[in-house]
Amino acid sequence: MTDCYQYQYLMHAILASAGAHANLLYGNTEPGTAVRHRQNAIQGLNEALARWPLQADEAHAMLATSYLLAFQSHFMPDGFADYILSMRGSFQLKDVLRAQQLRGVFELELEDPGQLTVYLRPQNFHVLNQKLLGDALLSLDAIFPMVDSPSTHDIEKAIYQKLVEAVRYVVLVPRMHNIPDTVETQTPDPVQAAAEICKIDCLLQSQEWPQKEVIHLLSPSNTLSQVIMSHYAALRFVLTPLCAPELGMGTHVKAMVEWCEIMLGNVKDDGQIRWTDHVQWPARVTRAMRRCVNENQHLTLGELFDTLVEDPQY
Amino acid sequence: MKKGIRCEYPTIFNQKQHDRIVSEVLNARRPQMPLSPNPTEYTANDMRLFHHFITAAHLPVYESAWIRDVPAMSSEVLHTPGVLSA
Repeated sequence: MTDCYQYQYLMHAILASAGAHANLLYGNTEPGTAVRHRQNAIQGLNEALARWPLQADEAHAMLATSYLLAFQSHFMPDGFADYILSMRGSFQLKDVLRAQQLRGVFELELEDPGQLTVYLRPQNFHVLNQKLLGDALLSLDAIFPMVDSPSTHDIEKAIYQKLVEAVRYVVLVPRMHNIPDTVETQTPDPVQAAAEICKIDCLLQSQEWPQKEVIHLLSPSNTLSQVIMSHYAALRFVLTPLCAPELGMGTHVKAMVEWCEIMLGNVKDDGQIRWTDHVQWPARVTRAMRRCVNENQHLTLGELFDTLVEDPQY
Repeated sequence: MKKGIRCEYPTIFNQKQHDRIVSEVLNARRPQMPLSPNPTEYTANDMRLFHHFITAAHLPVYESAWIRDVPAMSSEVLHTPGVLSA
């Protein structure tokens, strides 16, 4: 596998992700280095994609590059859209490698759906802040009329619906005025709640929706989608005690807090709707996360998990 | 030599080791890497970042791939064991 060629774009991707990670840990000592390597990696990857058909060695180098670009986005304050698009590219490339049976460094088998349960921690259901979740449901309920509009895209409706279901599965006393209650059981089901959140991840990263729709969803000028996605990002934080993968505990979440802050900043009132009223809940969660980041300096998922489990009222 | 005692290694041991190592090196399937006509020049800071990637900044899944196989695919210059363990 390794006795083949050199892939400069892969090296650039390695240096780009390491640079972004180092900037996060030690401050931006070399501004521009990570971005410059990222540009070179993207350019090289595009050139490699044009060389068809794929050879197994290079295909895995391309997949590694794509993963690294997504990984780097995790450290970039404005990297949310890049992260989603890079992950979509990685999934698509992996599908091609699997279809062509191009074996190499990475496993190409389909993920076992049963693996999902490994990441779930339903035993932590009791530490979830019921007041906060109840407010989340009310906040989602308040934007239902806008989501229900004929001009709303299906992808926005799909994500909104999964958000409502996720919250609905963990709220003990649901209060809703606008949303039709589709959850039949009145018994909380934290496993199902976490599964709904994971479905949103899959929906964004897989090819289930065309790229055009995903770009519409991620557009900073699309106020409704920014409202929905800020709820999604905030809910990910709140449900961390339920679904934090063991291998991801060392992941830094500072940039994810910054993603939320940017989304919230994109939400402006217009002549008809006071949109800022509809992001009060995600703004409240984001402020708490910002405080947590500032207190911990370099907040990891594991530290966030411990904080939320030990202090549910945080 | 500390106490005036001279270290003596059995000749047969040395010879065996020598033969084994030479044999392994000669029989090993050595990488064939065409050198790029326009090699990228890496800076000292790039080396620092590469080391940071290996030791701290790689993805948490498939760890062996990220610290061994992927760096080896990335460049003919930087994937020597000396650099990896620096």
